[in-house]
Amino acid sequence: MVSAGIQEFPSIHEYVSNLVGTPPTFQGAAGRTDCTGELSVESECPEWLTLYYRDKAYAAFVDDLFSLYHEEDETPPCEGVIDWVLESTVLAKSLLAQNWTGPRVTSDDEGGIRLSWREGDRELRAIVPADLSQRYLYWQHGTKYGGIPNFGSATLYLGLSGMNERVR
Amino acid sequence: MSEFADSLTLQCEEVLFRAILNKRHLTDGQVQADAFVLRSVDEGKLSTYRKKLMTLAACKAVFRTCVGVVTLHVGHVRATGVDEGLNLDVIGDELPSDPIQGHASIINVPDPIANRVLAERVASLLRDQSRIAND
Repeated sequence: MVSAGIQEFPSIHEYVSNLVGTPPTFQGAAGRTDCTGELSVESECPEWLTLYYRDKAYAAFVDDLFSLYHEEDETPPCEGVIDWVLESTVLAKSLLAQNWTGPRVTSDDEGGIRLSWREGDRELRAIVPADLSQRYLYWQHGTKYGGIPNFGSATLYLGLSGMNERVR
Repeated sequence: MSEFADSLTLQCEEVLFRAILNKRHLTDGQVQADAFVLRSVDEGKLSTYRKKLMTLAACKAVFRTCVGVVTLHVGHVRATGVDEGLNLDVIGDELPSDPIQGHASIINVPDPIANRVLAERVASLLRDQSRIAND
């Protein structure tokens, strides 16, 4: 078990063994290997995995994300896309805390992922294609709309934060 | 001349069926905008069927994995995105390999690679005007 302050959570190895239908490329998303070829869990435990065990909403999102690998008629996302999505959602989840809601997750049939949030007349879509340089964020507020190319985790957080402001 | 010039023009009063083939595009009884974003396999057109030429059951039966069907009005589709300078249209577009007749295509849909923002906007507008078709 990995110790993280007051809470202990399973190692990546345990996580992998517990995840239903873990994709073969999971290692790339879970962490780097050390010089022996073993996953260096203690030093490389990714933030998203920590969140996975601490937050049910985020865990549901991650499970939904990985289930794309196992559903019939779904095109599995590229490994780099999964990595990018996991790493880029941690900041928003951490800062929004309980105000964060999981997105609808769909594939683009070409190795990419689409994340969609909707609250009333506000929408946010994070389109992450296999070619990560083509990623963009689409936002819509009533009749106003626009896009932000090459967005990062901070922009995603700001977009989601804007959606939440209306709800409060 | 447009490549679609010889195709059959539909009346604005006609109703279209659009089959939803991905279960993630139809959640909680609502169709998602993703169902109206062009994919590479779509060849620039959104596939639909004309209600007056086929039944809902027949539309569902065309596909191996049809999770639902939504309806669209031809007139509303044509009015979609006019303010943004779009020119969406619906044309009769029979497919030689199709076991049933009544195929129609929504054309002039923005390409999500060349015009990403408009493609998402149009997907939202088509989603908003679509209705779940019930038996």
